[in-house]
Amino acid sequence: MSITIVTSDNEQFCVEKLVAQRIALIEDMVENAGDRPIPLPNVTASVLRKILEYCEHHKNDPLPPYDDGSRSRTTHISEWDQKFITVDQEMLFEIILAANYLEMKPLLYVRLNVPRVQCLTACNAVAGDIGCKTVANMIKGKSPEEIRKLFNIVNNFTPEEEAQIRKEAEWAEDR
Amino acid sequence: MTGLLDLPEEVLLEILLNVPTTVDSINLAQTSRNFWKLTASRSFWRRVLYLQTSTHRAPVLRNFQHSSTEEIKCLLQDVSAFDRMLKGDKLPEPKRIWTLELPECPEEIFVEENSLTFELTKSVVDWKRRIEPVLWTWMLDDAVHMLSMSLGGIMRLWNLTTKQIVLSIDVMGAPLCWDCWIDEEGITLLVNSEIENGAVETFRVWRYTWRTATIALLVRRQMIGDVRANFIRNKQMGCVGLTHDGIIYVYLVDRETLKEIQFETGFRLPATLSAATSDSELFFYAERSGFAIYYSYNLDHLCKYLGDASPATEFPHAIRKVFTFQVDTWDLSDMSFPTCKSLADGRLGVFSRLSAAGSAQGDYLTLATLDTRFNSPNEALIEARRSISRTVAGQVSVACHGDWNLYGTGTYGRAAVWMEDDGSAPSGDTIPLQNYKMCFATFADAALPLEPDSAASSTPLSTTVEVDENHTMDESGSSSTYSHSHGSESTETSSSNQGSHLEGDEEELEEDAQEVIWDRQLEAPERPLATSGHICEFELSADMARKYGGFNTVDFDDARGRVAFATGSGKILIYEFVRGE
Repeated sequence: MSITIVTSDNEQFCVEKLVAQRIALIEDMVENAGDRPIPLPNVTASVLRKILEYCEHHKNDPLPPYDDGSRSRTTHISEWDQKFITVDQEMLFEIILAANYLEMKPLLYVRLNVPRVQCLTACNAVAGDIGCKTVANMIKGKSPEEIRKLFNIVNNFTPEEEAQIRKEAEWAEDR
Repeated sequence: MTGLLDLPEEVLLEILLNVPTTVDSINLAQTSRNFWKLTASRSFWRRVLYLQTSTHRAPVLRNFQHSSTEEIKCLLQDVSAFDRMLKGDKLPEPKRIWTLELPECPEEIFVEENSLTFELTKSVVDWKRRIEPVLWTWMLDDAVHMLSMSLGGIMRLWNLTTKQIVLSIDVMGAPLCWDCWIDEEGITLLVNSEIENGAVETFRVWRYTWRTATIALLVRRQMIGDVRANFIRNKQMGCVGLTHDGIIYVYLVDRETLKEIQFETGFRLPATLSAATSDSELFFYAERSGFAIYYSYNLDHLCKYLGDASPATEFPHAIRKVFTFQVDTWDLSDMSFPTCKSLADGRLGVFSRLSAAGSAQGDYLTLATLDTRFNSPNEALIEARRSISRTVAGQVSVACHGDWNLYGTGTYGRAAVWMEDDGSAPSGDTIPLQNYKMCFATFADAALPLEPDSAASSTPLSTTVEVDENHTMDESGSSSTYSHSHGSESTETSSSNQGSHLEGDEEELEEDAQEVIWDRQLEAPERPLATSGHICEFELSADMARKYGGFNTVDFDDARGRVAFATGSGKILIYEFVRGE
């Protein structure tokens, strides 16, 4: 059985229900939609294609362990995932944004009740475990200025604020 | 074009929480207001605390659930400042002093209602009784609380933030030894006390719950005769060890229940028995004629055995390990009884105070550590694969001469020595001043455990190992020896069921020690010292020193740089070394 998803740029995707249901938001919508196409007004076709590629690859993965927020985080990303997420920065952030919108993030583990949590799958790790880890890994070992340069971040502190912040952060030097 | 800052705040926070180190976190936070404001989040500071504790750079806050963001930040800043001070950074003049003393209002103390029940009631104690010398203090690793014990057997729990007493308990006799552990729900207190000059010893376990502010007496066990109790703990469970004529009783105490296991060692235990736990091991430690002997038991095995067997069952000897710590190049006549404790990184640390014969440098404090972590996560082979991967020792020489008064040791391998200067300070004032010094020492190489491969390279330490020729290989056959410039060190395990019953004299102890011998010669005092430290000088007036009635013990929080003195006046002085007034 398959369902139809319509992206913001009006492209239709016919997706195996088993695969689609691994996205938490769609799983919610499937029951109410009946045979109607499911609209995703915040996701473009190119991004949804990537996310479905991820879901397809991980559709048989076991459920991730419950996370109460105190889990030990690692920066490890599997080889396939690493290849999957090797995209340009814009696509990386688009994927993270879409995954967030589609409720594919570990933050949900904390917020949702248990039955809902159990519906979540490894696919929900896209935003947090893969996307965020990828960004986190890009930051590793870089100074604030290098990070700004890497991500085109504008320094919006006043000089006074910056001095104060540097002082407050002194404790972390050499940590 | 979508950029990093276009992501929602919760995703930015997730990125901030996923960066691998504290420095990366702080660097990212400093890039823009968007990230900096996320550092107000409690989850950010919990994450930083997690990173710091996992690298043993901050104490484990057992009840950090109740700690505010400010408290966590403050702790981390203190830890960092003390680290930098020990590395030689100049900090603002320290010495902020807190004085804790009993309030003038009548004090309510929990006492047992009678000898037959476990009921507790409150008793109002008059002012005079409360003015008793404080025997010891113990700043707890939640960074908030401190325990103290007075001569009359009143144990008090203080909140260092509010400077108030949380509860007071009458331990019903002269206190002998004690322990506690603290978690997010409450605190468990254990005390062994004696009455009738040691004829009867009783140990008790209390549980105080934060939420309800109630206390319960969980355990009371009386024993007649020569009993030595050692209260020890680890991350998984509370653990109480009691010895009685060669029998070790181990009580595993969780939050509300107590289970008992007893097993015979087969030999008489030395009078200097001490105990500690690492993550997975229960150690009994004894000093005897210049040897320090460790009896080590695997806690997983103990628990499993406890779960399987009925109480009061003899425990198999197979899990016993004996290590020998030898200090034969030193004049041990002035060797004080060593302090044995679990270090923050899970190793066993033994602090010893030594006097080197003929040395002009006076006393030495040494730290030896024993790493008994397992090589394999395979539980079935835990016992067989245990190894001593590296042993290290260091010494601190107190560079400025003087008389040692007291010293305190901490779980990060640091020590604080409180000493009087050699000569009284010249003073033109009417009130004579006495110079004191507080010397902080960090045992540099003890702080970083080395892997066996790196241990094989150069080391300034002199180490020799003897392995019993008859020693049996473990079932996996893993018994390795590697050498370095001054000898060899053994990665050794022992087989099951080879422990023999011994009848309890010194020769037999030493014979038993051949099972696995770790023989360590301490570095000669003339050799370069491998430690660093910091010395703070004090000036105290003679009147002020008298006012406090002498200092009984010193407790050292070596993560944050706080020192607490238990004084004869009933007051507790706390010096904080990392922040100015």
